[in-house]
Amino acid sequence: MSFLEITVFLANGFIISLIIFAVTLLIGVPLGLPIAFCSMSKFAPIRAISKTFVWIIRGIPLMLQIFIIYYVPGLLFGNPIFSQIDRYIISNFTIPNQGLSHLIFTNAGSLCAVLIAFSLNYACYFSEIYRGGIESISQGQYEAGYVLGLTKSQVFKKIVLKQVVKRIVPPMSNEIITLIKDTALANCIMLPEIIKQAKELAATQALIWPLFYTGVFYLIFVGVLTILFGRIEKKLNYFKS
Amino acid sequence: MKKLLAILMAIVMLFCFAACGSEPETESGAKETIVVGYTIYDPMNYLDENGELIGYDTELAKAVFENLGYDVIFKEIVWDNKYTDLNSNTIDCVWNGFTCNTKDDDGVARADKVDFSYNYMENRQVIVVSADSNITAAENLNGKIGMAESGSAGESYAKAFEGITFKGVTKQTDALLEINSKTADFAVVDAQLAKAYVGKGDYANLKIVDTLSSDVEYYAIGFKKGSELTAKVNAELEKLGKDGTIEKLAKKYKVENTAIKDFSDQK
Amino acid sequence: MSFLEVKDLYKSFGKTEVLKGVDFTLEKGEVLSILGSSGGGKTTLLRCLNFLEFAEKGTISINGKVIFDGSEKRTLKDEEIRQNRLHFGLVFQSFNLFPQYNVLQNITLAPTLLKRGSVEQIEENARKLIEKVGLLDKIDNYPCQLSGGQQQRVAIARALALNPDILCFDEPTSALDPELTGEVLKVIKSLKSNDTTMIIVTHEMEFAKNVSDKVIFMADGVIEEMGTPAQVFDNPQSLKTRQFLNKSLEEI
Repeated sequence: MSFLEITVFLANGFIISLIIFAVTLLIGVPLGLPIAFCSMSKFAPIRAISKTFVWIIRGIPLMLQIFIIYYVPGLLFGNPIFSQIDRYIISNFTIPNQGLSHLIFTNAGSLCAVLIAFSLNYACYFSEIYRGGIESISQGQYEAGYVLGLTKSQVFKKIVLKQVVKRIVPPMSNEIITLIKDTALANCIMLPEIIKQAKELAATQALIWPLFYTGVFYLIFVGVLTILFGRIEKKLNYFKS
Repeated sequence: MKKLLAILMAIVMLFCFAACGSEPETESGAKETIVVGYTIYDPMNYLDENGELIGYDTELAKAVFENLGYDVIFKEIVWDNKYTDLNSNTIDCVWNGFTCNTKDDDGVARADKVDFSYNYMENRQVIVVSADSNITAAENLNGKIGMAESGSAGESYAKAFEGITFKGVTKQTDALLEINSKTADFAVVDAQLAKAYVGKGDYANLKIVDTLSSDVEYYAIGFKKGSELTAKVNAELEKLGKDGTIEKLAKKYKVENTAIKDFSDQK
Repeated sequence: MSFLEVKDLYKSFGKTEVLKGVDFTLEKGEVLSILGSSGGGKTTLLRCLNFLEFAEKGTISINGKVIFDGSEKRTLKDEEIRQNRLHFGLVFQSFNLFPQYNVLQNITLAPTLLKRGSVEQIEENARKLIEKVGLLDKIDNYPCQLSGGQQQRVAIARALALNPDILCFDEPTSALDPELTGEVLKVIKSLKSNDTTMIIVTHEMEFAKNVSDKVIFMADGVIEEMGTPAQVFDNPQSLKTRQFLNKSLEEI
């Protein structure tokens, strides 16, 4: 295989990594907010449920959560839903022989399991960042809004939110950069993300260097993320909170 | 408003957990689909230069299941997870140079954990070392670092040697990789695989020094205990043995010396 | 019937009683100063008036209409609380400007959200208020670019933008450097001429004496002394008031 072919082969895997990354953010970022609100709820049972949930999800290694979500439906309920997804796809779609769509079609089941695990896991991490951010806003900001006759939701949306956003940008960017590297965990159920692709090259083509070459993909992407978050931080720099 | 949102969220969270159990079974189409679990293992299951999965096991499995009227998909698995994959019905069988007449690391015979088909191939374990290694036989391994795929037959052999340090990896080829990078001194792998890899590409400076076990190992197809597929697959193997399909495949993948074509003595 | 009537207000936090029956009245256009040592319940009284705290007992009425009654068992709905709050404005000790908005936006935010007129009207009114507190040249600046005194003047303009019936000040100069208190006190004093009703919690004795129509001295959750500045400052009846005034003089 030529260098270009290997780059394309790895890039296909990296696109799988990016799919995990994007979907996790798409679900995890909004889902974290209600979890954060539950964790701060004045109603004790909801607070307890939410905090226990966050404790469990944050307390268990992500890899183990992937295993649990992937295997438990089949082992405990006799209903291997993720394998059913694979079976459903093979009998209802024509699957291309190779390339990215081949990877996605033949691994749709495991991909779903990974996406669920990642989204839940990151939603919990995000929720704690949100909670920290919201709780760090001084009571005076709320009170200033209330005495001006604003409603609770106006106070949150128009006064508190932007200050929270400013405060959580650094921890969020940290977490999001960790996320792209965490996607490598998906290869524990053989999802062909970039590391798995590189290992496959080692196994089938007897090539070891592509494994190290994958680092370039991560580095470039993290570089882009760093610049992006730097810009956001700069944009919010006009005020001090 | 906040409270309402909170309650709504709690319900969604509970649903997320409940959803795992409540998804209805998807009965799809007229044809049933068989999921075959494999790991990359030349010459049994591997990718050709176009990235298509081929190999002796791959083609044999396709032939058997298509003759039986099933759709087949091949699912790459982590070898260590093969029993979980079978028991959770994530896959329907392991068809991947699965040694049947051996014990796992826990001392339990594999035949007690899964149902095996007829033996369809002979195999032995070999020791692979770096070409410049001073290891010449299974006798002088004292103080060396040994490698094998976790959960493989090779692991049981490797661990039985006196005075060695054992390290497990997830793939047989990873074990070879480790020898190459000198992080280990020897690897115990399947003879079939060693013959296919050693001396090629990045594995050019490896060599096979010893063949282990006077007892012959056999490959068979593993099914979940009690599976109805076992008998069907056995019957089909017999047919393919008689009509020469197996012989043809064995020649194609250069395993004619070890492939079993006549299953009449296994009934 | 007075403009503002506070009757028998009780408030405690856990076991600590902070207000132990506070009664007073205030007429429209009057300026009331509340003095007293810290922990006397002055700030809590203001917070009760602004519905940031809820008294357990007592009533608050404006223009004869009872807007708070501690004996009522039901809790007030968010919307009622919101409407009641609009009778009062509050200027905080620590300003509490919204850091992400500039001076103009800080003042127009609430009127805009409460739909108090067209965008042009609201902005026009805000400009007038900014001019009144002498900060027209800082109209586009953000709070972090202003001094403490300037921030507090913006906070006063912000509170005025909603035309509250009664404007409350909670120690408006306590968080300021001494050289900055003057400018803020001057602004407050300038409001007096506009027949705005004000309640000022303060430690500035001289200022209270000059600006007030009525002075209350609070200690341990009760009103120790109430009267005109002349009565309270020059001829105090209560021992606690005398001690407090003497101590304040000594410090100077």
